[in-house]
Amino acid sequence: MKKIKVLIADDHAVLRAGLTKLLNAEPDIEVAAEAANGEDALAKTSEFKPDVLLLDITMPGMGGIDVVRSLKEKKMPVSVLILTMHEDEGYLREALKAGVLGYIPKKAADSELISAIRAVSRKEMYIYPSLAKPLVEEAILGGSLHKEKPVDTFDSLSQREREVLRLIAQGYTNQEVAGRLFISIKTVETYKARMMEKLSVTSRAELVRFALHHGLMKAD
Amino acid sequence: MATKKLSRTSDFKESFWHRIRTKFFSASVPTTSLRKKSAKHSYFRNILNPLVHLWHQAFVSAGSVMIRTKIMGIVTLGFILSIEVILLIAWQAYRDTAAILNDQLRHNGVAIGKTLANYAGNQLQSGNQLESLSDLAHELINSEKNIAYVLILGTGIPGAGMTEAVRTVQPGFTGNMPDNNPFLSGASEQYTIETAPYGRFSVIDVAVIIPGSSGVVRIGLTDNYIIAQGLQNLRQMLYLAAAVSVLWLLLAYFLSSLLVRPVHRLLEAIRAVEGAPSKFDDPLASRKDEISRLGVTFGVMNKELQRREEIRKQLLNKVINAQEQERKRIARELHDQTGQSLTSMIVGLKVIESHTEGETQKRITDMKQMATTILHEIHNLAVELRPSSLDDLGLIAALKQYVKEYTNKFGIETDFQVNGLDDKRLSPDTEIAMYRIIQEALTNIVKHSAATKASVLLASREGSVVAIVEDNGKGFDVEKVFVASQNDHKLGLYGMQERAALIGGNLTIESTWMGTTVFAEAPVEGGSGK
Repeated sequence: MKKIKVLIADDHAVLRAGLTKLLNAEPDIEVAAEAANGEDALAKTSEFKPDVLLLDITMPGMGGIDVVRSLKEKKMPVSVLILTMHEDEGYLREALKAGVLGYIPKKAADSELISAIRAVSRKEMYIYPSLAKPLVEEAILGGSLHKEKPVDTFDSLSQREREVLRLIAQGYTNQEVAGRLFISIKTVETYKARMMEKLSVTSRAELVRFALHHGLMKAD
Repeated sequence: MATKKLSRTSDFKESFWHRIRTKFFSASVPTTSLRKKSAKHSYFRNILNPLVHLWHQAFVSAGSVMIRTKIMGIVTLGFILSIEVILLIAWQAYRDTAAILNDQLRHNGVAIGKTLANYAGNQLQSGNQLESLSDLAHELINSEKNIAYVLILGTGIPGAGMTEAVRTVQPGFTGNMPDNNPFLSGASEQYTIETAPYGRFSVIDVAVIIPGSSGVVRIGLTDNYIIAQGLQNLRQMLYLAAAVSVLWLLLAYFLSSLLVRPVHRLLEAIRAVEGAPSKFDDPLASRKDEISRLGVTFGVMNKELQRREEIRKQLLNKVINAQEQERKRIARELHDQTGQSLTSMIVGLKVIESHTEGETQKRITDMKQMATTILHEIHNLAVELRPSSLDDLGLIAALKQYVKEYTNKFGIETDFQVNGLDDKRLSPDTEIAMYRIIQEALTNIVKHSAATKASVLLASREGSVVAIVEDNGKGFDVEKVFVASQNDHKLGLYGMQERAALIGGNLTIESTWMGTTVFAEAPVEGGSGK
């Protein structure tokens, strides 16, 4: 049986050793080499031609994401599985944009790593479930998990209310809005409350999204 | 849990108490206004308000009158009062004198009249005609300017009127002269006096019977000469008073200017506190009077204050930077060293786990579990201290993550929205400052507001970026908390404001019973776009 050749790239030596032991204990996985930084990972990838590159993001010198980009540029046919401390959606996006197939946090190293390596070696994607949720929602539901307003109530706003809405969405304080429209602060507060009521909106962020959606603000 | 946040009534005729609370809680920082200060008395406002307002207005009006005007006003008023008193006295003196003179005139008139009448009587007895008295009359007229006329009416043909024996008139006298004998009607007095008006003055007419005949001597006396003189005196006094007043006013103006000038310069220096160096170095300024000395001391103090403010700002900057560096270092250590080591341990335990069984394996599994939990906690701690995504990916990515975790951790549904920034990155100082301010604001929401929803927004404007954190909690009195925080060393709000100021921005907080909004605005380099 052909074993899955894995290259482990991580700047922490003890971890590398531990992972090597862990993976070698599997019958279908074999650790071909180790790398301690980005440049080393690139060099060893072209040298050993592994099936799977187990890659950390934060490494001294060239970081993990740059390694992936470099590999893609050089059109090297290796499946990249990111193993990192970072659980931020931001990092996940960057990695996916760069072209990785898998992404799991280190806290799941004991439970998910093996399955992930196997999946990725088959050119399947493996993204840690809790991290995948927002991405899927965005892709399928076409937006974030915030509910869309079914009724377009933009027209129910008076001209004055639209003016107030625009200024609020641009981030002006109630005092500033009052100053610009020559009305009292109390009036601004009333307008805002009434507006949110009319549009069935319960947060300022929703209000801003509404304003953006209806083109109330010129693009900055 | 308070429920009023989501159950906003659609009836916007707000109740009386809502209005009170809104007035009480509507506040923004850092401006203060009279309106907010008096909001606490809003219940009694309608009753006392007009009176208080009037009193206040009077004071304001009095206060806004310049010192110089006040001094001159005092001086002028005093002077006017004195002049008035003097003029009154003069007028009174004049009137008294006039009365005395009038009296004198009457007596004189009577004396002259009697004398002349007796003389005339003697003349008649000696067989002379009354006409011979003409010369005497002329002499009298010439010697006494007060005598308007001398008339001697002699006996005539009974029933045919009196004949004028002598008629001598003072030149310039234009009044009427009597032409009858007032004693014909059998009056028993020796003489009569009558006063008739003569223009502005009067004529005293004395009529004396010539003894031993039915003739009559009539003497007319006027006071015009005296009065004219008196009036002229008064007029002169008035002119003098006016001239002295003008001189006095000039003097007062000069003196008050001397007094006021250093005050003005002091005012200028005070106004200049905010930026420009103190202008209180005028070498021509008199250093002797109290106000000048006050001003000089103020100038010195002001310089010192500015120097200290500079130092304080620098110190604060250093402290915040040091804190951030420390946090960064610790977070890195936790992340890179401790976290990795724990991961290695977990992996190692996994290997052992697969080689053991039964009770031992169970124990190994438990240890592995514990290590995983610890790793999780360490990770969260590191992120809380200083998220690496802030440095690597930027403010927006870091905030997205923070908001997500915040929502999960505290159950406050928090929304994140970016407007106009795209993926533009700000300066590291600005990003970390904004991150910390937002972090502090969100922490405060959990601690104090009892809110159920919150929003975090980043908006871009020309030349600046604004971070907004809004919640639907119960709000608070911003000014009160700000003042209190300085006393109790609860420096949360103050710290936020300082952080904003250090990156050249400002912080505004608006809070009503419907919720609180924190605005942090900071300038950004360059134009719009990436």
